[in-house]
Amino acid sequence: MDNGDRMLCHACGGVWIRDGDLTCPHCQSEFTEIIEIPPEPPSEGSPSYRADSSSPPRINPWVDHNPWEREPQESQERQSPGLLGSGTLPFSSLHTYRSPNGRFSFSSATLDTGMPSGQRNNGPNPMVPMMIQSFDTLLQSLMEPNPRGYRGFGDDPFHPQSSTSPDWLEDDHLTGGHPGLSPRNGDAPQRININEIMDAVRADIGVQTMRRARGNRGGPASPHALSILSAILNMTRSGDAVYSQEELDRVITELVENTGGTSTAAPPASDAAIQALPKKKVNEEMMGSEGKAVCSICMDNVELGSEVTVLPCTHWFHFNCIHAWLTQHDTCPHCRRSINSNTEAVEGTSENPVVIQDSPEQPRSDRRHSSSRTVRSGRSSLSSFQSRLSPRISPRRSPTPEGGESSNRRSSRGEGSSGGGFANWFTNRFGNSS
Amino acid sequence: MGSIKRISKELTELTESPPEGITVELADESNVYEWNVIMEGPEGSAYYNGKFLVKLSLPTEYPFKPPTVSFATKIYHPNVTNDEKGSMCLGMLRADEWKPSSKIAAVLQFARQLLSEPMPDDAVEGRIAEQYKNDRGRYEEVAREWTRKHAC
Repeated sequence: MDNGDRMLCHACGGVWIRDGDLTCPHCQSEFTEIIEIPPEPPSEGSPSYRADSSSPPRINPWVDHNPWEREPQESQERQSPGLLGSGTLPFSSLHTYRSPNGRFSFSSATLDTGMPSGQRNNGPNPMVPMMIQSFDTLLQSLMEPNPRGYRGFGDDPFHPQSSTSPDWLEDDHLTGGHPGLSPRNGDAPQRININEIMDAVRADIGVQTMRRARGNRGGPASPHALSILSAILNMTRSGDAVYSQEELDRVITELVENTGGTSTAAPPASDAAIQALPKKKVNEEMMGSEGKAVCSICMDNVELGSEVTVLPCTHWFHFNCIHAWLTQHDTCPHCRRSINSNTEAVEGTSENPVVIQDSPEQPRSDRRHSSSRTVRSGRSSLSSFQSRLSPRISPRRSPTPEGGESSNRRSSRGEGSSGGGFANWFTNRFGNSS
Repeated sequence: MGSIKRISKELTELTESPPEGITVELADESNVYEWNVIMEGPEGSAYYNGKFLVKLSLPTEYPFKPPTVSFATKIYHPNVTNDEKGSMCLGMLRADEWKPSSKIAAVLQFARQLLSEPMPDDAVEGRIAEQYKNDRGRYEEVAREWTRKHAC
């Protein structure tokens, strides 16, 4: 349907019924959204809408609409096991997130509590609505004297901007429909600093993480009233729990950004390891069929006979180019195979005793089960530990050092590894990754 | 710096034989690190007929650090942040995914491919992703509307 959709403006928080255009009729912002019913989880935690719900709203046709009439259990997926015990709150939803490379996944339950109490479905546990209601009342009394009349979507009550409230919102005609829009007594002389109160509460219950994470997005945010409530009541673990989509997004953003930085990226290679890489003059075979080759770091052509540095994976680069990369990450810039194996082999001394793996090649999935034989070198252990963390550079349980079979297999993949039996073995054992 | 040489080289390549639907130029002739890219909405997508200004920003450490891609033209897309930054989330541009052997051309082509096939599972705009998954018709309607309004 083209018209009649319920629209939400992210800029001013306005809600209106769409009339063809998607632009917010009030602030002309185009950052608008067609919202589904029931609406998004109200993160604004503005509990005092009830104060005005009895005032006569006329214009907003949704004012009498009860979004909660709809059967909440519309699908299995939406129905979460419930943070407060199964079924105590009818509006909880389960969300699952996966990081782009699939290495992280998060599941969370989001509780929606923004429904008017008069319309609340009677949950099995009548205590919960009661508690929320009392907390609402508490918050409401705190906020009543706040002269800034409105806290709506996109307006963070904990970081109030001065007078962002458009005039039209001062009318009460929209207040019944959206729980976030709540005109208050603008004549009240005094303003309680809700920030301090909330900060104190939040500090107590350890949701500082969320707050920090909020900075990343700069969007609307506030700990949901329920999160504070439940933390106070110890209804669930407070440290890891978030109660709104926005908070969850922020936490995840922070996690992803952190891990996207340095923690999962390959560590730098040591200078000794870099210097130890074999060098080679470019021959015709390396020039390929077109007789032309480039260093894929600087993209410069490589002349026949010039010297390049070869990694254990056989990819080669200008020494200066690969040096610059390896001082940041010890993997091949092309295939991401670690260079460590080879250099460890080169450096392998009596201080790095090696227990030779004599079992035949096993599937990678069995790797962790055959644990007994390991290389006893700090560096090697570290790299294999890192490998375990990051599947990309995980070592392949691989064939025996003396196995000509393994060499053949490797050459058949176009991976000639220089350096003889021990180096070969080491490369095979630790140097491969898919 | 080697990076300037490589960047110039890539710029020349992209200017001389631009990939389909992608036009590049320097935002400022004296600075090779900031590019303006005009990306045409791929045929068959909700962005078709739109011309999107994409800012490509290269770090001085390029190619050892990844470039960043952001949409200066507003776009309704699960993988582009719906804010003044318009950042695009590209897996290949993350620090631990980036490979110096990736070229800018590949980055831009990947970005354009993302217009044809959004990746709602890697979304930065969760709501748009939900809509994309659950109500494709409406997503396309809004995306088209935005394209018509901002990118034509």
